[in-house]
This record gives sequence, C-alpha cells and structure tokens, in this order.
Amino acid sequence: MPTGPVIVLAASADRQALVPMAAGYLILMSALALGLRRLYRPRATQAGPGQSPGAGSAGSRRGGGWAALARQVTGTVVGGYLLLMAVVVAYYYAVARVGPGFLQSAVTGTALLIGLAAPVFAAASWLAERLPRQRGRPAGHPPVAGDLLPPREVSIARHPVIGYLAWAVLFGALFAWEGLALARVTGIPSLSDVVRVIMRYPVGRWALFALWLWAGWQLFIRRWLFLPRA
Amino acid sequence: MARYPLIGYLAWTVLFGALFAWEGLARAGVTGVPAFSGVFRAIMRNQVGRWALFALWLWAGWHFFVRGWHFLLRA
Repeated sequence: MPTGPVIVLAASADRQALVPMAAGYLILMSALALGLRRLYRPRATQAGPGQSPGAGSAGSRRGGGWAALARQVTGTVVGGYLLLMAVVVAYYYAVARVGPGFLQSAVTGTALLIGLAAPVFAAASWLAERLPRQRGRPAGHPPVAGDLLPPREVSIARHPVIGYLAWAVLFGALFAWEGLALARVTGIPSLSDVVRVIMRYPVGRWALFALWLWAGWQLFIRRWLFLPRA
Repeated sequence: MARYPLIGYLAWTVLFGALFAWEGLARAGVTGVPAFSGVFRAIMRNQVGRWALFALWLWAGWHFFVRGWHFLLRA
C-alpha cells in the first residue's frame, strides 16, 4: 500500500494550509497587540508637552487637508501592496509552487483592483464631502491637518482588554476553521467555497464586490475624512 | 464545484453569526464589548498594522474576484 506519497501529500497540504493561516493570524494579532499596547500606555509617556494627546505617528505629520490625506492613503497603499507582494513571493518559493502565472496574477491582479477601486474611492470621498453632515464641519470643507489623526482613541481605551480578546478568539476560530478546510478535512468547505456559492449568481457577485469596495473605503479612506476638527 | 455536507456551510454561518452577535452587543452599548471598528482602529494605530490590513483586504479582493478569471482577448 503506497502510504509514503499519501503521507507526504497530507503533510504538504497541511503545510500549505497551516502556514498561511497561522502567519496571517499572527500578523493581525501582533498588530492588534501593538495597537492596544500603545493605546493603554500611560498618556504621559505617549505624548510630549506640545503634542496633541493620542496623536501618535499621524500627529507628527506635516501639512494638512487633502495633501495629508493623499500622503496617508498613498503610504498605506504602497506599504500594503509591497507587504502583500513580499508574502506572496515568500509563499510561492518557500511553501507551495502554485500553478503557473500565480506571481504574475498577484502583481497585475492586485494592481488592477487598486486601479478599479481608486476612482470609486475618490468619487465616494468627493460625494461624502459634499453631503451635509452633522459632525461640525460644513459640507464641502476640506479636511485639515488636525482632522487626520487616529480617531476617538480615548473611547477605545474605555473597553477592557477582555473585550478585544473575545474578538481575537472569534477571528482565531475563523482562521482555524479555514485552516482545517484547506487541510482537506472531510466535510469542511473553505471560505472560498462558501463565497463561490454566493458568486454563482451575478447579483451575489455584485453584492460581494460592492461589499469589498465599501469595506476598503470605510477602513482606509472614510475614517480619515470624517474626524472632528482638532 | 465541490459539494460539501450542509453542516460544513452551517458551521461558517454559526461563526459569522457569532461575529455579528458580538458586534450587535457592542453596538447596543454593552459594557466592555468593543465594536469591530474599534478592533480595526487599534490594529491601524501603527503603520505596519495599516499595511497588514490593507494587504489582507487586497488579497481578499484578488483571491475572490481576480484569480482564475481570464479576461477577454487574453491569449
């Protein structure tokens, strides 16, 4: 009975499944832990006498308005894109030589998505700025430098760490379940399988793509637009 | 497309249901429960966290919407 190749195959599948899942979870949770550590650090050591409380790295940013927003977004896009490319290349050469065209697809496909999302984000931001809001800043007023600070940090600190730990456990369950699915444990569909079911229908595809765009705009653009004046 | 027993899909529903339930508690103002946005805000407090989150978002878009698709006129 050829148990050798089967064991090698299973080990390879485990490696392909567990390494990215564990690495992704660890990266996210490390970032969360770092953020919480900075958040819960006593304020005296966090901000200097002339610095606005909770300003952090963003507070030291020079310039203001749309230029600062553009710098912030560009920094996130370039850094995130390069990080993803580094992870993809490392995965390809160290974990699994996925089919031909994988690296090319990663480089061009993600660039295409950024190109598609950019005008949508710009239009959404322009519209959001035009719409009257109840946040104190009149409609059409461009954001100023003080606007581009990490928002409402004091309100984050009100929550005990256990609340964030619960989120970490929930995310951990998602990553673990996905890891089991990718390791080909019988009867467990991967998230891709679930998404594929939704994307069988055009409406499902549109809805998911819209959801993805909305999430990106909310996470990387909107939160920097709608902060109260310093 | 591979077929899986319904229980496998139900498990995903339960997991996402738990996420939504926890978020619901946070939105309802239950003490000690941070919202989803609060978690992301904490992650994005540092530059590397912002990069990681953007990379994750971009990867999701590529994985679900681009990979495996062949554009028109492509050889």
